[in-house]
Amino acid sequence: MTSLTGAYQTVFDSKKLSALDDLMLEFISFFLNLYQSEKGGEITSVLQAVLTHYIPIYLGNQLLFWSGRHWEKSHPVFSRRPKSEDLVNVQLGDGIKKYFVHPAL
Amino acid sequence: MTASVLYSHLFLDLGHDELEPELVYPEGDSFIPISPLGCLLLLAASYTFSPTEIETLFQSQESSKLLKLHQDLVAEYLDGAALNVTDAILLLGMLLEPHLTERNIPSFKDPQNLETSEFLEYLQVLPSTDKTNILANIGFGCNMSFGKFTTAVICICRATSE
Repeated sequence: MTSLTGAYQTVFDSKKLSALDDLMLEFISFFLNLYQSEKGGEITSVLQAVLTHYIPIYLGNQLLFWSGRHWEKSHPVFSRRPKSEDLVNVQLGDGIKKYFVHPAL
Repeated sequence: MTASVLYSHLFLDLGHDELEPELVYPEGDSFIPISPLGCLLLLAASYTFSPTEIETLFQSQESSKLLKLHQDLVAEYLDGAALNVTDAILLLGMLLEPHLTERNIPSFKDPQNLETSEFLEYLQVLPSTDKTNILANIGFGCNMSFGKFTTAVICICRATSE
């Protein structure tokens, strides 16, 4: 996790960042499979800890504008004002969704 | 991780107190606790994918506890927070607002009241002698996050005009 944090702070190339994220997903998937086969509760708590430490690193200081998107569901947006969804990195949102494929974790 | 698991870890679990700090991540590698900020961000993100889960969770909680939780989030994490953490706190405030009642909001008849001043601090209203400025700040905060807190603004308007 320390290495990953360091890497995210020094790498700015999007392809390399994507490769780092794939590495993390692979790590989570591998240990999740191990958990499913061995039913180890200890692995679950370690995975939860790793995952929750990783998400702030993954998002960095980039906004997904959750509050703005929620607000716009029930309030009108001025015609000239761009919608919150158009201001965010959709790929980042899709990326975070990958970590919700295992609700049992 | 389900919304209820994320919700239960929004603040640091001090259950590993018996461990030496240098053994706990990020100082050490013997134990890695669940990150509250990660839980906060995942909880906010989960609303995009599964809104009913958070709604069900909030419905099962007492309104006073929900407000206290949000006040604690503001006090603990807002200062110096990353933009997405601020966004997550704001979203949770908007989501829990429909579950609050007028009983959760203090009376603004006495501006010197401790409860009132703490509530204003929670709304991020800075002390000021300029009433217009106070109202502008509160109005902005309410419009941005808490529709029901309009009641609070009306009370303050009455208090300051008397």
